[in-house]
Amino acid sequence: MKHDVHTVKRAINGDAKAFEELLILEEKMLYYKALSYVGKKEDALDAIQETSCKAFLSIGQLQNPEYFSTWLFRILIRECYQLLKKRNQIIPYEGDELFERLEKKQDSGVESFHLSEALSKLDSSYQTSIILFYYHDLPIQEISEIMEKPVGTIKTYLRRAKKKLKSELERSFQLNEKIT
Amino acid sequence: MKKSHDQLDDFPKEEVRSAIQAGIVQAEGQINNKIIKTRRYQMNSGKRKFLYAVSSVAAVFGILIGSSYYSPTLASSLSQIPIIGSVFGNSNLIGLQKAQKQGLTSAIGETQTIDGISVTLDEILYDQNNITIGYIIESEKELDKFYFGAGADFTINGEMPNGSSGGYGEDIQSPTTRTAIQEITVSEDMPNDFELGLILQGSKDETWYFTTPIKQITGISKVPIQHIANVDGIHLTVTELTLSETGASISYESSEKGTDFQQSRGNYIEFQMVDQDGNEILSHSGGITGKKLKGKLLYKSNKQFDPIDSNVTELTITPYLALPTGGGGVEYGENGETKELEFKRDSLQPVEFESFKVKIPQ
Repeated sequence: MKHDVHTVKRAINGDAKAFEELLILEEKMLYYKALSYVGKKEDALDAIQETSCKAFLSIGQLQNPEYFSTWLFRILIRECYQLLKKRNQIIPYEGDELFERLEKKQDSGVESFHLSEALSKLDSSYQTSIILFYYHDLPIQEISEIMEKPVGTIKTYLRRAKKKLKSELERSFQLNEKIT
Repeated sequence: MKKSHDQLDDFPKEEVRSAIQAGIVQAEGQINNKIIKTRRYQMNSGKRKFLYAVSSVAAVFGILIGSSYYSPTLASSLSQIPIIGSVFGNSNLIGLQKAQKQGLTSAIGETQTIDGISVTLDEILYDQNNITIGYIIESEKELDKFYFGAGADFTINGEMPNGSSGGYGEDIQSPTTRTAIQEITVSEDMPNDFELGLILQGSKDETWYFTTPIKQITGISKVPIQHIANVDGIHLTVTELTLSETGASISYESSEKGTDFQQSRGNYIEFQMVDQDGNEILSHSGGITGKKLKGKLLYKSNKQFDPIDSNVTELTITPYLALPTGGGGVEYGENGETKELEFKRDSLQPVEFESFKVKIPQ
């Protein structure tokens, strides 16, 4: 555990100074993680402020001090998702990397630049679940918490999203083949 | 996991810390049932506010509940070249100079930079009258004159006060450098030592958040007075004279019949203070709070003065009315709506109070 357990316990008891110390130790991780989800500095700062507020309000419920970081970052990711949802935006990602990860699990002979287009044709819930699962490596349980949907629903989203992506990418590949 | 996106090069440490701190303040506000809506600090008080400011013969004077105002008097007290030394040491306010020389101020020296604007919390003095804060502000680009509005909002141990009064003044020394002094009037519910939070907001919504422990200076003596005067419907009770190394103050309460603040004179009471040798002690006005109660308007205030010399044995104090020569006011409603208040100078008649003497214990 990277945080001093006594500081975490002080924070759990409502000590604002201790809580601030803990967040400052995580400041870089908070920022870059938020940035990776929302893509813009200002939005990342907004997400951090909301996270700081909500985490302070609910830290009393944290039962295991050793899970402070995991708990904090879960709140951060949820805030980032909420922020993007309000603006009808999708979590940004890098096509190449997402494609590599998808490709490992799918047998598809298409190039990554088609991915963005195919992904954009999906329903936003499908897009989000794919990005969180393949690009951000989040477990299904966490995606379920972030998106506030049952685990079964997330599994369905992922299954349907992959199926649609596959057919979309194959269609795109075939079209591409015909043209060239 | 993911690779970096753009903007990875510079980690905006101060802004991230400011966001963390603003989030905590926001949470504390919610815990304490205070309505604080923030986007790294935008405040919206749900309480009914009454703000009244007039330009008067005694420069700027106001009834301020829950707000502060831009003060030309404070602005003019700032020296043109204060960067060398301190903002207080270079101001022309005797109390601040003295406090600075005698080491009664807390030197902070913390600088926070957001979007090329560096705000330094230079030093703080907490005496019986005010919490006085000195800032040095430097920016890469030229800033508007009222970029920082009426100064910082503040918290006491993380909580927003129910009401406050004070002033803020800046001296713009160059397009990119300015110094500022903010005064927060000390109220009865302020502890002797506490964690002061300062939330300064720029016009582009940037927020500088400072927090520092402060402690009231020691050596404050109080001389009970209980002088009562009734003149032309104004009931005045001068309760005490407070003395310290950094200033003197006269505490008083006044009341008069009526419900219209604009028709009232009790809020224009000032005092002239002269020592046994005829030397006048300079007054710095001071905020006032007013309320309506059972058909009466009640006011309470501390009027502030320069510190008195150790050889002063007796003071002659003369209350007088400093009626405004012009101005107006704005009343802020519950939902932020504003109502212009027309200036009604003609209806205010001058009155004269008798002087009284106060012996200074040696």
